[in-house]
Amino acid sequence: MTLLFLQSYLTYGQESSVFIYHVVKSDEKVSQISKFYNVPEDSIRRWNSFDSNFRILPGMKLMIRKQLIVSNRVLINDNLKSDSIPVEFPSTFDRIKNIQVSETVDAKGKVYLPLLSEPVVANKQSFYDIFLHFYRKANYLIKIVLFLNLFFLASVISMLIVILYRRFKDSYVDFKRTKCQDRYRDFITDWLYEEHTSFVPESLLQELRDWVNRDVFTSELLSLHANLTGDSADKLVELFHLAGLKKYSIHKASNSSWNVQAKGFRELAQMKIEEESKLISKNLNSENEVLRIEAQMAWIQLNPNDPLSFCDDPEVNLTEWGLLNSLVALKKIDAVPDFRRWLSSANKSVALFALKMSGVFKQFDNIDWVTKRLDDLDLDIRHEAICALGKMAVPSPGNRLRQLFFTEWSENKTEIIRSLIMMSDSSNVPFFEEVLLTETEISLRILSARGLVSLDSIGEERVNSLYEEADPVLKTIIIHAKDERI
Amino acid sequence: MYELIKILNFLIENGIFVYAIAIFISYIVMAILSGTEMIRYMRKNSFVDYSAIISSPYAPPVTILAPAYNEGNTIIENIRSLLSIHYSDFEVIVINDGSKDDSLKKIIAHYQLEKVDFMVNYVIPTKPVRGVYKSTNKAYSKLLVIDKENGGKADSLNAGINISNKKYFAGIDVDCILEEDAILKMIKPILEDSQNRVIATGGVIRIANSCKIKDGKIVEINLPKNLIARFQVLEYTRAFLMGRMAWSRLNGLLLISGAFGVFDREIVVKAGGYDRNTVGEDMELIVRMRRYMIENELKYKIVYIPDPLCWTEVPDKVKILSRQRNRWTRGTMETLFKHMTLFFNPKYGNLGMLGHPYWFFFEWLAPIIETIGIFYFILVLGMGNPDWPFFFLLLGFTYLFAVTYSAWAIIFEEFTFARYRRKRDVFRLLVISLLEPLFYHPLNVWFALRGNYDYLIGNISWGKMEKKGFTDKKKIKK
Repeated sequence: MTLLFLQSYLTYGQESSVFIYHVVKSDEKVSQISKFYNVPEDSIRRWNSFDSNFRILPGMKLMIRKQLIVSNRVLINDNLKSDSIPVEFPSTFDRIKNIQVSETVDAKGKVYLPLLSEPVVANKQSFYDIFLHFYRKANYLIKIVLFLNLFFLASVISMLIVILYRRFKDSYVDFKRTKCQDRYRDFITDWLYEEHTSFVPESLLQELRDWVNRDVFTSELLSLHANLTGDSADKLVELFHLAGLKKYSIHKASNSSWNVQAKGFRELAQMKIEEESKLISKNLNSENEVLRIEAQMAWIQLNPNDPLSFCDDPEVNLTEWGLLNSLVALKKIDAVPDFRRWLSSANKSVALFALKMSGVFKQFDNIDWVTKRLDDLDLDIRHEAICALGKMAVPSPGNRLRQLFFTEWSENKTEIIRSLIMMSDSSNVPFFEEVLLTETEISLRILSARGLVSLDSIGEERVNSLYEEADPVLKTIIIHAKDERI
Repeated sequence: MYELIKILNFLIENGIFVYAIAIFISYIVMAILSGTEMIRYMRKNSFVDYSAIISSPYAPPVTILAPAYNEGNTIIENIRSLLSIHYSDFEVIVINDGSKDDSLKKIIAHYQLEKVDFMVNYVIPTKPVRGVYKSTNKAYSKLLVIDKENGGKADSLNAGINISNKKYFAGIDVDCILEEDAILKMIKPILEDSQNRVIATGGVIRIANSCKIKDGKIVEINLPKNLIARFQVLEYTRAFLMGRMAWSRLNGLLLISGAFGVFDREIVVKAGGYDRNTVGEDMELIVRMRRYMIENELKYKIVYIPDPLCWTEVPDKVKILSRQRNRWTRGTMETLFKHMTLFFNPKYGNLGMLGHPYWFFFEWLAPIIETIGIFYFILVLGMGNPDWPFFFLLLGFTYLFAVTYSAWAIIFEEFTFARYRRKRDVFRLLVISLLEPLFYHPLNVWFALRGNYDYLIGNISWGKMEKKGFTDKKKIKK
């Protein structure tokens, strides 16, 4: 509706018109008709769609367009006689119908002929005729708008049909799913507790040829497997193979659609189908982030001996989301790799990952390598190294962290204090005290007061003595820091 | 004089024509962009395991900031809903903005709060904080309540930002109902981008009128019974699924709804926090954050996700709706005029060349031009002789375009989240799309005009909003 103005653009200054029919008399020529109505010959030819060679014949009805000048009346030539049968255009129809006979002579004595004094041919025409007539005579803009209108109308109807179809399809699939879901769940549970399970009934194999059934069965099996370990998990892997689902997972992993492929990788990894890891390796550096992460997660699970080999030479940067997922995958395998290999990686994202993981898995042997990265020019690398040292909570790099504090950015300063707190080292007392008394940033002062409080009796004692001599702001900071609820 | 009228006439006719064509094209382009973005998003997230974030020690910590003013009727239920969010490291800060009712008393009693000596760091200036409260009950350890002098929503959010110490915060309306996994979904785009810093994420706001609520959760989704609210369902679906998704793809988002958005605290603080002198503080903050990033040559992104994450009650009375829309218009104007330096300024990239001009021409000016068009048409009607068939043809075109656009929004919804599962709801929405251009749209144009007028006369009031709340008759009986 915002575009209602478009209409006004096309309404002002447009000349409205009526068409009348002229019945050709014997020996009459186009030029005579042209003069008679005071319209160009070319226009008559155009209105009636004939070329210059066409000859008119007696009795023929020619369409003549007459322009309207006055809104309520139709001005026509004085010499228009009754052998001309007027036909009104739909737009003028109502207007013409309302013309009063008394209005046929105006103040200047010009003759205005009410067109409806003659039988109106248009009334006998069908809507289709009027439409066709309108369309033929319409200019390109009108035709475009007309087509667009029809297109929109068709679109709305099509969308309605699409919605109906989708709803119907969904209901059907849901019906099929609910029908088999409980049955499959029972079958899989029974399979777990049966002693001799090396045979899948033919009827089930037949059912699994249908994609909906197969999808339900696979997802039930995978979700149960995700919560199991040891023999039970292995039994489900066996069922997966016996039910012939492996080939479908391989098909998925080779699919051209990336989202299907990613699902395939997940299934292959969970069902430990190691022989297909080549298929996965192709996508370890995929441009598609989702596919890449799924491939990397699958790779970690299928290659426990060297799960992070893709970090050696990554073509694409690792994302935080990727790291998070890799961590989940790493926790699923028994052996965690030594991250020292990547701690000095030139690739920033890999180095960040290695620093993070060194902290998470508390790889104390890597402390020196992590500490070295405190000298890195990159702010994020230094930040992650500080965090990793904090996670390890070993006091040895404390001195280096304290030195670093005075040259660091605000965000890293906060992290240094947090890491030092985690180290619980009494040698940090003078440092915390200095920060508490000299720093301008309130949050750092609160943290350092917390650091003192965390050092039990030594720190507590120092805090209490500081409190006695403190100004009101410092007092509030100390009270805040001592309050364990905050 | 005649020449002047002729020139004016020419300008109006051609200007309006070009404007109309531009707006049509922009809608079509946005629909296409949104469509492709939605398909990509749905495929990408069809098998995401969000539990990876919940269990991860590296999930970024988030503070939920919920300003409350005179919310005594629903506040207990609202806080309960916020505390039941699924996330590993989060805290809920409720800011009592000098409520005149018994909100604070109720919260203190119900959640067993006591005052703590909190050292408030006024990084962003706010009205004084009267007290900070924490619960003595460990079950509510994630809750912190701030009591402060009344200063408005922006001021309350700033107070919350000052007190929060987590890397990200989610600004929400306290009476909104969040989906349990809302924060998980909003944090994911932040973790996904290694090239740009994601400084804010927004999610789709849905309408909770007539929905059934139990224990602060939506348990049954219904289309509102009230016609005004029902119109807004269509409007919100169109705006969120077709508009903002497209802007997200272009990295040209100018607005993340104040009802729910996640922000990078550090950037918000550096940008100066929420502006207390505007009624459109949500939009203004986004524009200022973007300006900060561009002016400091920092790579950044603002992302929108199409998941329905937050449910809110919308006005179901024309009077309340008019106040809300009036405020939105004033907020838009304040932001646009405050940041006029962006207008077609290539230095600001998409923000300057696309986002700001688009809002200027197609959001702020649209109702004004529409009104001019209608008056001009009436004038022409009196002076000349309109070509009625063509008029009706164009009217049909405009109407059908509007209906088709809404129908596309319904299709988007149907193919993505399909929250209205009853068949009759979809048909009702389609019927609404037929009625909307005739009844609801003109109303909105009128409210926007009133907003323009109020802006010009310097009205800066928020406008009293009345909400029924979710805890009365709409709540399921246990």
